[in-house]
Amino acid sequence: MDEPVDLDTQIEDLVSDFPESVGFLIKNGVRCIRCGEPIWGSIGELLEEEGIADARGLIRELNAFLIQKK
Amino acid sequence: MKSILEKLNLKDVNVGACSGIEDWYTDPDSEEIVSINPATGEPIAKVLQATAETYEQVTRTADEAFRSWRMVPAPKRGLVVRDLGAALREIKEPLGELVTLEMGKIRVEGLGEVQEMIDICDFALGLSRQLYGLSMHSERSGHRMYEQWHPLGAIGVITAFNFPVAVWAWNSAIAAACGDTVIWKPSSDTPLTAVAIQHVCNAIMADHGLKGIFNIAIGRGAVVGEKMINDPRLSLISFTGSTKMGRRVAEAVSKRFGKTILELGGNNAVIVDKDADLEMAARTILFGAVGTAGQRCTSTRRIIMHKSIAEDLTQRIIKAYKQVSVGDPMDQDVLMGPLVTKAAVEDMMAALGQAKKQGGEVLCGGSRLPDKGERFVEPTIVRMPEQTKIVHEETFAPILYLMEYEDIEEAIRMHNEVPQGLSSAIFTTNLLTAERFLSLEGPDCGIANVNLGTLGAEIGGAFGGEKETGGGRESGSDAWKGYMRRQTNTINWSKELPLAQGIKFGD
Repeated sequence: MDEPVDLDTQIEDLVSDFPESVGFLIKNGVRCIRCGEPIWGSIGELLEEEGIADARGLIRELNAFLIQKK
Repeated sequence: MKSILEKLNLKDVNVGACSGIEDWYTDPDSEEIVSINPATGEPIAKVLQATAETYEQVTRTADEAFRSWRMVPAPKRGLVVRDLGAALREIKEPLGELVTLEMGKIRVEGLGEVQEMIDICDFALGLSRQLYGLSMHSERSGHRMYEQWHPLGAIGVITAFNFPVAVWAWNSAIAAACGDTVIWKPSSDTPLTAVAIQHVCNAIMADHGLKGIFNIAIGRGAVVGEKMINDPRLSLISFTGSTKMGRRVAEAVSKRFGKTILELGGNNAVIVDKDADLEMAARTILFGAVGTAGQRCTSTRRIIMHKSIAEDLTQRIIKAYKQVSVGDPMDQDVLMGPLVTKAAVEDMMAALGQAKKQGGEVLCGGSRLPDKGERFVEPTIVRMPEQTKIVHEETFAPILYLMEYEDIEEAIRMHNEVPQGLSSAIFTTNLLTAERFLSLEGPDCGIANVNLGTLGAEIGGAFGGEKETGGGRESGSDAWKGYMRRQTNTINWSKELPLAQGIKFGD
């Protein structure tokens, strides 16, 4: 099955297409909506800004979580 | 719903880039954005987003329009804004209802938001004759010195979903009176209200033989937003949104030495002192925390209460919360509608999970309301043992944290401990405590109230806050100065050439 999210996925798309990502990412120390609005830019950029060392690994876990939810 | 859209000239598919009645810009590459009714999850209508090409058309038109708009005397510019206010009066009801349909605040709040637009138009009309500069006495004889305020140019206004029309009006009515032209990027969650307003603006501009004064470029932050903040033609960016995004906007705009007005996050607290009128406090806290489903920048998020009245106040607030009806925001008996998106619900639930881990005890609410719809939640009260990490963060949802204090020094310290500084309030019947709260020892916020909630100022006051709230001011008072540039002028009407500071140069 295709992975729904990659590092280039825009956060605006992520939160509208996969809102359950929000809770998953918060549990992993990343907030992708603030004041009710998505952060601009890609999830890869945000993970880098937040200093997530293994961004690819986190995206793999996020994809597994989303596929399992489906 | 259909009749609301018809009254506002909205179609099933609408164009999201426009500068005037004959200047709707389309591009085959435009992507559609579907506006969703958060109460039902059903689509309302679609908007074709601005592309790089149509953004360029909008910006070029606004930039060119500025060249002639700035030459229109300010009092005559005020007449255009006056007509805009009159037109908004005509559509107050459908526009207010569209606000409710599109973002989920209850109908009376939607209507109130449109009233705020009307009020700021009235304010801007008066302001158009009062763009005063000072005159100063020159230290050089035969010289006259004064300052005057000139328009800035085309400006960008980027707004959030929670006040989809009022914040645009605060900025645009004042900016237009000041001689600027405005490009508006609304939230992608509320594109239809922006198109509806553009139709009104188009009619007013056409009546006055104008275009390009009021413009829209509806699109993603990553596309339209990034273009705006990096565009040197936009001399000012007025941004309403989160602190995180505000930091990004500020960095980009300051890199090109543009100006910003930033209205960012709030984490607003009410201090309830031992001598407060608790019934009044409880009612105010309810409206402050539950109104707009806790999605206002000025929502009450923290209650810092004296330990001697804590239990009594807590029980009163819980009782009030239990009477809140949650449901369809168009229903007049409903006090709280849905959150704007499913993601916002996830954000709230994640924050509640963290609050519990940090010792929080949910006293009321705390759950989703799936029977009402995917975006409905219970208004929630959490008693916290102290001001933990999650309490320092702004969660855009109806979560109210309760904490206790022993003396007023501790209350103010707790109040100011958070990084945000928008709105603050105290309930007390002690004059000395009230004055102390309003003194320089009090809250480090842009707004401080006594015996009322953490509401924003009326449009006559300047709205905004300190610290991570960004420092910008919008709306009333002298906020207009943010939309103009100050120029100091000196005129020598003598035949001499004296220098200031007594300097002799040459002869």
